[in-house]
Amino acid sequence: MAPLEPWEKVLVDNEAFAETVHGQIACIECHDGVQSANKEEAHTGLIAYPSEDPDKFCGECHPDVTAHNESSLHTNQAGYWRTLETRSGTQDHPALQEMFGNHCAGCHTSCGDCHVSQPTSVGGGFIDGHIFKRTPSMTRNCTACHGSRVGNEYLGKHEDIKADVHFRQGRMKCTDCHSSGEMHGSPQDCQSCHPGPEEGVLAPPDHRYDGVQSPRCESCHAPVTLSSDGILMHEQHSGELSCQVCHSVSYSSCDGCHVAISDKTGKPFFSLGESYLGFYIGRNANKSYDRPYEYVTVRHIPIAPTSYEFYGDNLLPNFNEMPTWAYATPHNIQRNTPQTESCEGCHNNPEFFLTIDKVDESELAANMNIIIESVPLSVAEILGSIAVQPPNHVDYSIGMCSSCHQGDNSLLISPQNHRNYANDSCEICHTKSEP
Amino acid sequence: MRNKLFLVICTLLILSLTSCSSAESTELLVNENDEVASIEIEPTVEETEIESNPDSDQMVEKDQTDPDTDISAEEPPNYCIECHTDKQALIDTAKPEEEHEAENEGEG
Repeated sequence: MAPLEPWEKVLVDNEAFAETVHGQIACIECHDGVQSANKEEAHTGLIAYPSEDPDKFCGECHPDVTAHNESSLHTNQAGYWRTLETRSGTQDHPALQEMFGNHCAGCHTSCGDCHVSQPTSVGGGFIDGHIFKRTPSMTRNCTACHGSRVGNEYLGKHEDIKADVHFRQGRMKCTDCHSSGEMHGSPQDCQSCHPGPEEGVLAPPDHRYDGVQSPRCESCHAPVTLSSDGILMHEQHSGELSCQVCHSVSYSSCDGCHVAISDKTGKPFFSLGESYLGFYIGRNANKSYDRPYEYVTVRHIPIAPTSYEFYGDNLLPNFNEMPTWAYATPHNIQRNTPQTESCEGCHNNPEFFLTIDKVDESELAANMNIIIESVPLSVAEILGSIAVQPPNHVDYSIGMCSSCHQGDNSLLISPQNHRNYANDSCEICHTKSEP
Repeated sequence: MRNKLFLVICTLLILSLTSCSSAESTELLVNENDEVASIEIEPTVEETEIESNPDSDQMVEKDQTDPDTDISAEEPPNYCIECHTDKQALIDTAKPEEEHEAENEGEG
């Protein structure tokens, strides 16, 4: 995104702005300052970003939004702190706080960063002559920050990789899936949204993929969950694989980011080791009621044990407490992918799986719960190993199978992924052995 | 027969006399009432004292003056809007942005 000229950042379209609700409020009501023709004098006590104090300046008219601001990840950047504290094993570490202030805090976002200006982290400047936008611009707000991974994937900016089908065919914007509650924070008690006789308090999410999936694909694609879309693979694999395992394609991974302060300019800067495209299926280390998947897509995140060494030695002694190959939800969904071409797209295809040979030796301990020990067998092998009925089944007839192969006997229970098969269809795969 | 004829004549005579007398009296009453009513309903013009509003004169004067001249004279200028809608003024007064060599390496 090209930066705006300095004058362009602060040029007000008063003809249009004056027609809006916010245009009825005097400038100094929000920005303070002094009425003077002299710029320096006029800017005395100027509040350039009033929404940094949302309760005072936004909350008077939008109390329902500002009430939950403290729980918004855009505001509190809690995800950064969770990973820093987990890997460092400490809280309030002075060196890490300094590092955070220099390199991470700039990603903090206030109301105005989405609703009137471009985010300050990308240079700021009015989106449209200081006119407030109820819905932020996808490219000038959302992907201005979430650009290098989400934006590039979703908009199809990687060569030879198509844009996400939701954008390519549906022209869907970020806000079509991601609700304002995700952006603004949401109440931590159940009753604010679901008034009822019982009280309930939600535990704060422990990590990014904790709690209820929001958004979730099934909200729109309900037939997939109900197995009523006639697609056998949805019946066979639903619950075992996250949607992205089959419907995502190559996405970005990054290695070894290091941060420091420049000797020349005194400004903070970062140096990224390597950035590359790839598609990796790993194990889901955080299975939950809402994400029961055995396999998920994972991407390498740019952390390294020495990422913050400019600020001190051994700042991340618990580095292995979190994986470097992290559960990911790539934003390049396609209906047809190499994985959906055939069973062999995944079965017996080591290319797509995060096997031990793809993980750096220094990171093996951090990723033991993610690494795939063995690639799934080919379908022919799976069927060949179990398909033939034992010799003592020769006298059994069609329709008798579930008399024994069901219930609580773990030796005889039919696998869960067979639940949609009829009792009289067993012999299609499980042929009788030769007498 | 004669008695009957006499009775009929008498009855008609009485009826005719009675009807004549009542018509006269009604007519008289109506005339009297009309006169009274017309006197009472007729509106009278009374002068009402109106308090003079000290601002009203100014308001009249305001209306007669040129609106453009009036606004500039009465409302203080909004320097914020004046400057922030003037592209050239913003260019002229913009602080030169610090140019420093970007030292970041790789895509952020």
